[in-house]
Amino acid sequence: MRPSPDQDARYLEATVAHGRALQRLASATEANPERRRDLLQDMHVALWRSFASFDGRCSVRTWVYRVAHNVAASHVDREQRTRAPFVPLEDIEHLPSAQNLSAEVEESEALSRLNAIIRRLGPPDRQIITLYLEGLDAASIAEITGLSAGAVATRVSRLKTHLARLFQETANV
Amino acid sequence: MSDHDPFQKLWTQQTQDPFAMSLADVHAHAQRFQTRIRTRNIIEYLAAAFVVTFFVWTAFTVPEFIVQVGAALIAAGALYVCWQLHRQGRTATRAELEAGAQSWVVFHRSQLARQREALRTVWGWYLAPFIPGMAVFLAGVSFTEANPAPLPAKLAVFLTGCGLIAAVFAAVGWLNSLAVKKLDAEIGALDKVCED
Repeated sequence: MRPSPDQDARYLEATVAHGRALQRLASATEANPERRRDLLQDMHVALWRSFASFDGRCSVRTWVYRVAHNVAASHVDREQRTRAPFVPLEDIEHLPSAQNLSAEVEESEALSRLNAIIRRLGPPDRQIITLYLEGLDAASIAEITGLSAGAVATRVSRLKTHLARLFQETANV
Repeated sequence: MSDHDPFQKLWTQQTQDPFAMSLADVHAHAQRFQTRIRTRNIIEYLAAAFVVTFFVWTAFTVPEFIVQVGAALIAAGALYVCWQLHRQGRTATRAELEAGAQSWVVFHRSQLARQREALRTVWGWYLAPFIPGMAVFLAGVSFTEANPAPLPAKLAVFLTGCGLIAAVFAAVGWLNSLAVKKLDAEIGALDKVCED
């Protein structure tokens, strides 16, 4: 595939605007540092390749998130064949406690717990919660995932409730 | 949705290890991806070429007509399987290139459906093409006039060979049917989410 200047420029603009979001998604998808780096590289390469066929029918942000989430889904799909199956959010327990920790360590611990919860979620809850955490509204999440905005709003509400409850419970252990 | 969700704050303010991929790196990785696909295709073609060459050579060198027909049929089956593998590989690669144009549901469902279809139809495109050739080849080898064994012994050799091949094919088919059931469940769950 021969790179076109447009393709390169679009890719560079997209990574400046959304590069950190790709890193956050990779962290929430893959726990192993080496495989996470591979996943991130796959996302970047897929993004660059995809810009060869970008037709402007959706925003660049939607396009970037679609590519990244589709690459992440393929990665999880491959990994799932050899790893433990997903569990419903309600069944996730035994997360590390955040008790008696300094603020900085506590934040890092909380983030680890959040990522651990997200990694164990099955599709499409993982997609929805990571997009919600990025600050996207229900309509944007619906455009990226292909679910209805109503279904997204319902699931976001449910996921937020469960996340809050889970954090509260593990913090009080 | 709330702008003050503590989880969103925690998420968006997280510090990340530095990650940088230059344009040259991306080009190199994309090139490597293309090379990997090309290499995979070449290996498939070489494997098919080896099988086809061996059985075509057999067809021309073995004097037994039935064995010749069996060998030619196996060679034809190998060519057909090779074409199917190439076709399925191209479909997967095209889907990856179009990832940005497809929502997650459409992409994920099509990936699952593609895998399911390949496994569900494995008899038709991977196993069955070899059956006529193997059966004829085995019959030719077992019942050849050059074999001095009595007919019941020849028949036993033929049936044992057929049984072994059938057992291997049945095991492959059974493992695939388990995988198909799992993929069916995943597709069903995805469809249910879309209906909600």
